[in-house]
Amino acid sequence: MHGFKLFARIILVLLLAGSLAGCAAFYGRHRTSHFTSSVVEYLYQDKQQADTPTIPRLSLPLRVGIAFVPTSKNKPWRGRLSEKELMELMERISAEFKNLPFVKSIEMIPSAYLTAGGGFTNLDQIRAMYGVDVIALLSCDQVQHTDEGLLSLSYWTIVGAYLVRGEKNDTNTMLDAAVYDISSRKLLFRAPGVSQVRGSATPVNLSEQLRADSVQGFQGAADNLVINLRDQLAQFQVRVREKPDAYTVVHKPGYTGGGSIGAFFSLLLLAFGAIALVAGRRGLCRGFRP
Amino acid sequence: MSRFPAITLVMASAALVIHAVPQLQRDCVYDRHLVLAGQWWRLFTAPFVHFSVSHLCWNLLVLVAAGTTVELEGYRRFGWVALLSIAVPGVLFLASKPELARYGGLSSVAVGATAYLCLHRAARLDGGRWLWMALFAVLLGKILAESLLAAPLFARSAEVPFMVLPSAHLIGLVVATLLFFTEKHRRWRAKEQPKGLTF
Repeated sequence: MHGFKLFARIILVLLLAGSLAGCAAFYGRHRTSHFTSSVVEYLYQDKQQADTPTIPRLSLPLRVGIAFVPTSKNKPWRGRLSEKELMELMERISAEFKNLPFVKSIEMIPSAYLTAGGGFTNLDQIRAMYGVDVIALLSCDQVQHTDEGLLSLSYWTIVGAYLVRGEKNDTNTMLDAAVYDISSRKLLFRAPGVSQVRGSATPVNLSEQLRADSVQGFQGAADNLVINLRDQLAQFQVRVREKPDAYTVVHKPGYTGGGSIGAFFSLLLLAFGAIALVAGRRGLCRGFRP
Repeated sequence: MSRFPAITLVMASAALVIHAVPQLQRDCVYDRHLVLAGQWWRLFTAPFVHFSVSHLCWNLLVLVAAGTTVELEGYRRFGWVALLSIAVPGVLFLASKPELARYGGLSSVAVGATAYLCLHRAARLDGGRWLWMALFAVLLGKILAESLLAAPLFARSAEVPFMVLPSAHLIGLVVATLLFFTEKHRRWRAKEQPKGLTF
């Protein structure tokens, strides 16, 4: 009998110690997940020396392609975003190009058409398949941190693990659009977009919440990217205008045409007209008969 | 009778409103594919669409200056100059330029208004008529040079995000010239006709 009591006490002590250790493990955990894709890795993987870009010949109107570069080490995007979500993000970003008068069409390239480390050889294949002149390569960097707050102490009660949102999530996302002229291998311009999502979850729905935060992070970064893209597009047009030696612009069938008098000739007309009006009022040229 | 530049202000306001509302721009621009699909109104609304702020501003500056002067001075056929300068380019481009996908801009009207003002002022026997003739010659010379060279004379092709069409300007100038001379011809005939022989 005495032996049984001793055995029961040992079991009780072990259970108590085990549960305390479990709670200690519950509280103060920190997890991080990192997800990245790189344009440099895609374009210049295994290359000691990068291709030397030539002067881009922009044949207006442009056919623009847009694609997400494959993730590092050939990890599929599907682990983070579905193809549908990738397309939605590309749709949101490509809307910025659609209104431009020098853009004829936008082609959204599915991620399956880009091979990891494919480089410009892969882009040449895409140009042949889709007939695009210029491509916007989208890359990303997303880090998710999960920490446990004081509320996680309620997990002791088991019910708390289902009801109390003690897991604190922090999702930082950066999307980057690098626009390349494929034939000249020249980077025309780039624009970044960043976002930060803070959230919380119960341990039970943690992975689900992290996925939702990840998608929300990409959407926020895409919105920010669109704003920056607008600025970069305007600056690019100024650069093309100011550096005619660096960019050759030609027009091809399907172009946009406009009646434009232009700044210089407008001012010339106005100045000439004003002089003629004043001369008419003062009779300055009345005596002139050729 | 007090004169008010109503036509010019209506055109300028329409261009400003359309530029401010992206949906209106999309609905009004000349899009060859959509015109052929039945959206014929684009032939006449396209001149009010502009592709950039500078495109809008420089075109409006010339149009408002020339159009207001023409209307304040009471030249009667300006309404026709404006109407034909708006309507003819779209129809001609549809018939003769299948490679032109989109078109917009009020410069044909601005050039038409300027040419019409030049001709009327040059016809007056006050001072400055030779300057107006010279201005008309500069306008004509620039348009002809651009048409022959197939490139903008003053602006680089990259200055505007589209290809400048000198033919639109030529249409404005031809319309203004024809209307001016038909108006003058009618007046000269009326003066020459003996009063007793009118039927």
